[in-house]
Amino acid sequence: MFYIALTAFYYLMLANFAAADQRRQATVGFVILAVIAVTLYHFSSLTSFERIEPWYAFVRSLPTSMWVRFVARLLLVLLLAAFSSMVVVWSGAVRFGLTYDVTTILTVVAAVPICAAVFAPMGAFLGAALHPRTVPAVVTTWYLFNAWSGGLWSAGRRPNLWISVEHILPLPAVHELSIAIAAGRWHTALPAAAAAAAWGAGAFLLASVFYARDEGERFR
Amino acid sequence: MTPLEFHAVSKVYGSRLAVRDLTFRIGTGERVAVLGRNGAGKTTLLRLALGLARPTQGRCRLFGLSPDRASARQQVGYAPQASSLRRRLKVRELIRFVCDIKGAPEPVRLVNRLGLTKVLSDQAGGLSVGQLRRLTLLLALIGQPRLLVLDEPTASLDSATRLAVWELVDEFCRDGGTLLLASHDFREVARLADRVLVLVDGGLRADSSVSALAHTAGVVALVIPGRLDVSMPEVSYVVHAEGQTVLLTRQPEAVLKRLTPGGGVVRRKPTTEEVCLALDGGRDG
Repeated sequence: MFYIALTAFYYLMLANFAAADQRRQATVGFVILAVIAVTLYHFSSLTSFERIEPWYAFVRSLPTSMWVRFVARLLLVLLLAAFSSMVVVWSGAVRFGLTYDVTTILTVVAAVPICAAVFAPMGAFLGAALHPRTVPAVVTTWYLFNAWSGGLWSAGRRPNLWISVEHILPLPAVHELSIAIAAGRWHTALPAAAAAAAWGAGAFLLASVFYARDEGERFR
Repeated sequence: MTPLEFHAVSKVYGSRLAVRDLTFRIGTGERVAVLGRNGAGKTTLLRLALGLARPTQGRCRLFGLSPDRASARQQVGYAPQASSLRRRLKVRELIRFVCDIKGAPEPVRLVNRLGLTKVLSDQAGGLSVGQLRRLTLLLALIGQPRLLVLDEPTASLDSATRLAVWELVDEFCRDGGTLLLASHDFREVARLADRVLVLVDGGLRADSSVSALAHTAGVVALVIPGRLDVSMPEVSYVVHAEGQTVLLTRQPEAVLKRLTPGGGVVRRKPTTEEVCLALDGGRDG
């Protein structure tokens, strides 16, 4: 809940200083950030807790498979992400009187699962690979890097070199793909789809390897 | 189907060898206690058995399957240490959680029998140590498991609660259940187990029935009146208690030869605890 409130707070703060015509665009950007915050922090923290807390050892002794736990966690994340998105959208409507057209709503709806599919395995990977004490710091750094890479906190002012590679970074790829799908022109966003799929699949592979490697035993 | 089988199992944490080359089999209906000092590998053995850790080498089988498999763990009831439970969850919620996962009905009779009816609406964090222990046992028994895995089930319990727990475990075993118990309490081991696995530095030093442990391990107790400071390589452990010195050794004849004659030495069968001490090979100072 903390990250949901924090993202909404950042959104209100930034949108307050944005031009009126940029606020709607900022809303979509912050919806993606909200989903990233929920998925990254939720998966990374729960995966690292699972490695060190005795309660999770007990849960893992029960007859459930790792995949059932992963899917249950993913469903919970999708629920939280949808709620977090609604908080951002609703904040924009109440505070700035924004109205949303169908395309914007569809972009938000598309962004939640796409974003979760890319960033949930990243969270699981970071939670599984890092020492639990370092997880919050690394995840926050990664989250802030992604926020910055989306251009939201730099008002689009980034080095030229950066601009040439940003389309292969996860947040811009997810952003572009969500907008393209909502607008019904997904075929124009194939590079973004490929980048998002590569990030998601890579993170999933790493998460699987690190999760299965020692079941949290390194940190006993 | 054999409830539990270890074949040449070793587990390494970083650079530390937690258990090494464990090979044993626990048949249906057996009551097995794992004994050993702190750090001897008891908890690692339980974790390997439950699929919470994977062997670095070797193979574990739970009812013929990898312990990773949910269908294997469906037949296992694990009572964790009391501190493992979520403190904020209510007793009723914990019971329902385990029942839902195991697809079992709520164990109303067992709840009554363990005296937990009045605390169903209490948070686990507000329970006494005894109530928590009973709760963990209850959670383990949900779904009628065929193998019960207990980690120090009666540590810090009062006598009445300890007896109640033992009785329930006894009943489970009488009904054909298999028991795997890790404990430091030798009375508990004598009461509940019929076979012991003694772990020393991660290795299996003895695997025997409780009654034959001393014979299997070849340990003899030599009791000498008075306090005697002994330093002999043949003596595995020295106990000073009640005005006597007990020498635990696997070479009694050699020790007797080196002792001063006429000391009134009595040779007797060691207790399970004494055998474990001797196998560990330390000194009590």
